[in-house]
Amino acid sequence: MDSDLIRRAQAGDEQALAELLKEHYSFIVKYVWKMSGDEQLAYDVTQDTLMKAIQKINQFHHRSKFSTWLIQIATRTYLDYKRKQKKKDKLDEKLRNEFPRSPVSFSNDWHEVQEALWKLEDEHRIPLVLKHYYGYDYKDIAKMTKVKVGTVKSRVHYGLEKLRKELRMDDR
Amino acid sequence: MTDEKTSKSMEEKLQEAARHTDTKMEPTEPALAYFENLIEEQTALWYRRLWFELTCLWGSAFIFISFLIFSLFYVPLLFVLAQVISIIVLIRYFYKERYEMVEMRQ
Repeated sequence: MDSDLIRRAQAGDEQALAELLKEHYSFIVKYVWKMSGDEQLAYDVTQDTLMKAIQKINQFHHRSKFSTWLIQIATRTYLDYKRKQKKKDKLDEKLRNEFPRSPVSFSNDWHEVQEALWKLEDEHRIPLVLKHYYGYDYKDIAKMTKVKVGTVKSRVHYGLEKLRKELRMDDR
Repeated sequence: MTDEKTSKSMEEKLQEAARHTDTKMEPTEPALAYFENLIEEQTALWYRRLWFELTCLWGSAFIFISFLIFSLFYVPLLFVLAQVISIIVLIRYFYKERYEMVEMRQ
């Protein structure tokens, strides 16, 4: 279904391209949101990602999934944004309010993990999200983030270490 | 052993966090018209850029051809040199394109 839409979009069918982008819109917003913890930034990066996808649709060679290709563009766009802004990451208060801590905290671990993840630096957080949230292998992550496979492995390792430390600190 | 166990449970926690976060996030998805407008805008932008690039190309071609005519009559050696450089650049371009095509097929 997707590949038919992609082929039609590559042949110049604008309706097919619009449907394809609509189909993947939420996926990209959620990815950037999870990666950055900033809802507004997620929408901005997604819009830029879609614009780049429209311009480069003919450069998609069907070697990977279309969603993987979009994630690659979104990751690079997000990194460009961060480079331009050079701002410190801010936790999204709105999102925090949407995920209130339950008075009975028996299964609220995931909330703490998510918050701890957002406290990490980009270089550790992005590979961790791609590896453990989306299940990409190291080679794909290296391609998406334009770093060597060994660097990705060590960043995932140190990211997990930092996350562990962060969660232990929260426990105190 | 313990470290491996901790690491594994951390990975599980991450996957659980991903699942929960995913269900809690509800992005506002725009209507199909938004995507159609975006595509129209980008297509118009692409055509504008294409026209600009073509104008630049024709402009530089005009300047280069004028320079060649001038050199042919007044400095023939410069004319020959320009031809040789052009041929080298063209050969390099074709080799590079051929190499990239082979790489893409692999």
